[in-house]
Amino acid sequence: MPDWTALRDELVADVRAPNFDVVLIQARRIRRRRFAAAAGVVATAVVVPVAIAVPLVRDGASAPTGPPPTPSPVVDAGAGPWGSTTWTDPDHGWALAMQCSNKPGCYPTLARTSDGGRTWSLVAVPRELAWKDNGPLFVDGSRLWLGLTTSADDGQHWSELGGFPGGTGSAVRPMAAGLTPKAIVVTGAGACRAALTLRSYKPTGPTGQRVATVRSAEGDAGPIVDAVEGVDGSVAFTVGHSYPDACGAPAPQTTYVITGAGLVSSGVVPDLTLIGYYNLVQMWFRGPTGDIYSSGDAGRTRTRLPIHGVSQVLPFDSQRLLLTRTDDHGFHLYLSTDGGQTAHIVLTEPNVEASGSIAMVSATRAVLTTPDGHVRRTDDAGATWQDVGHLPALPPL
Amino acid sequence: MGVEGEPDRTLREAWLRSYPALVGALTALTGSRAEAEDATQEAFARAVTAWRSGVPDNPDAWLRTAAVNRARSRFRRRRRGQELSRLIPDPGPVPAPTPDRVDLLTALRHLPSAQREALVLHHLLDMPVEEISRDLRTPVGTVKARLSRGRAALAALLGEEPSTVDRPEVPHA
Repeated sequence: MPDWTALRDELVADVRAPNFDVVLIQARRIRRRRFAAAAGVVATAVVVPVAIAVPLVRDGASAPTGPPPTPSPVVDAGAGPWGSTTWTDPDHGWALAMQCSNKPGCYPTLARTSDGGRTWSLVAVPRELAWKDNGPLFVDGSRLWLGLTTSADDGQHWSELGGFPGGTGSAVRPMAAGLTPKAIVVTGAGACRAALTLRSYKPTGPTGQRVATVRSAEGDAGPIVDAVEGVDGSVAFTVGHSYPDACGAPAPQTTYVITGAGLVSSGVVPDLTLIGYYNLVQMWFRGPTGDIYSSGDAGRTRTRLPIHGVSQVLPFDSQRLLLTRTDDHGFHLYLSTDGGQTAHIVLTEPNVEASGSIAMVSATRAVLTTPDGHVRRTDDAGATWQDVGHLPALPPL
Repeated sequence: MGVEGEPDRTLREAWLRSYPALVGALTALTGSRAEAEDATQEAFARAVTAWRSGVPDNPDAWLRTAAVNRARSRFRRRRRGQELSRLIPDPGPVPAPTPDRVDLLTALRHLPSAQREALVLHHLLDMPVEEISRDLRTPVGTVKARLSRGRAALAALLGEEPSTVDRPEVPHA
């Protein structure tokens, strides 16, 4: 048998922990990106009443003015843990916070609103729901999802989706429409396999079946990078990697779309990351150096846009886009009305530590929440933003 | 900068205590030292935020689970790691691995990921089978089967005589 002790000793012999400040710097970067993951980022935004000239142009780009970058490690500025929101309709929504304590551990806390975010009420969540890792919060009709755990009675009782053929998966994104019955997309376990499992469910409990497994020509594809829901109920996701690793040969990064009719491959999109998705054909990608591309044919062909450095594209429609960018001067939210050809700042937040999340609610409404509970809203498709309410103080665990 | 609170103090201590072991184990899991470092650092970075309101009951277990989860999402971490690598000074030359270590790591890479993960968690991170079962949300029997099959596969890959009797799981405190 292998000498595991010797292997362990040898593996750790030359490992030296870097300065702990590295962790704090990375924590700041992760917090900035929390947006980009599922619903978007934004901050305790300072509303800029006058549009500022586009600082997103690719060549000779000028960063927005603001305070100089803070050289010191991240400091807890007192922000709370409120995170993503999800909406059933323009009035009814849910917000998620993660709280941790010495005992008994970390748990999600939920709040809901029925007046578009003006007022919120806390929803008690059973203590059995220990928070283990980031799982997206989303609502599908009357059913609430927290990762692979679901509740059909407004969070009073929960059950966990399980029994995957390849092991435990993780929820990626709900399928809002176009499928019967409604379903969610999950990744199967196995780091080398992007086994997409479309799990349908019934009101009495989760059931489901695998409907698609993604494999590249070279073999197993890599893990799913991200998945985004379109206005038509389809979901776009990117799988694959362009580097050799323990799983074997590189698998070219590919963007797929899944609809009620099944899986559609949009073809190989080398070295581009999907950062925006509107429907089956309209997508936006980011290149490795920050160049932004739009595609009107599901990624088969791309056009490089004059904007640069955008981390996320949140479309109201194919032309009217919210664009997010974070740099050393803070978090910035831009509005484009010409499909990304030009854009101007509509919100900026110098304190990137206060970044929160933004949810696209309707064709004209988006809601952003900050970790300390501020709720801001636009009802004119991103042109102006108003303070509408505040999430409740979190109860002690 | 404010006074360091309990979460940061605990994290800083855990950083010094657990970082080498986590990086070592995740190197065996992912086949890449760089990815192992990225996953470990990202787990600690997430703890900075997650522990704001308090430290979990078992901080080391929390960090271990988070690091392993990060290691699974390798593609996403790879992108972040590329950015983080610019922040971290080059640690300098790394000693060349011994032939035995190379053989074992190579053999591990040829195992199915589920078996590799079970072996690494059990033998390099000293996790009991029951704890692996909870973390992976997989039945105990499945974990045992993966360990058994993984050992057999490793033995074959290393040219050793496979054990005819399943080795009992190593007891852990």
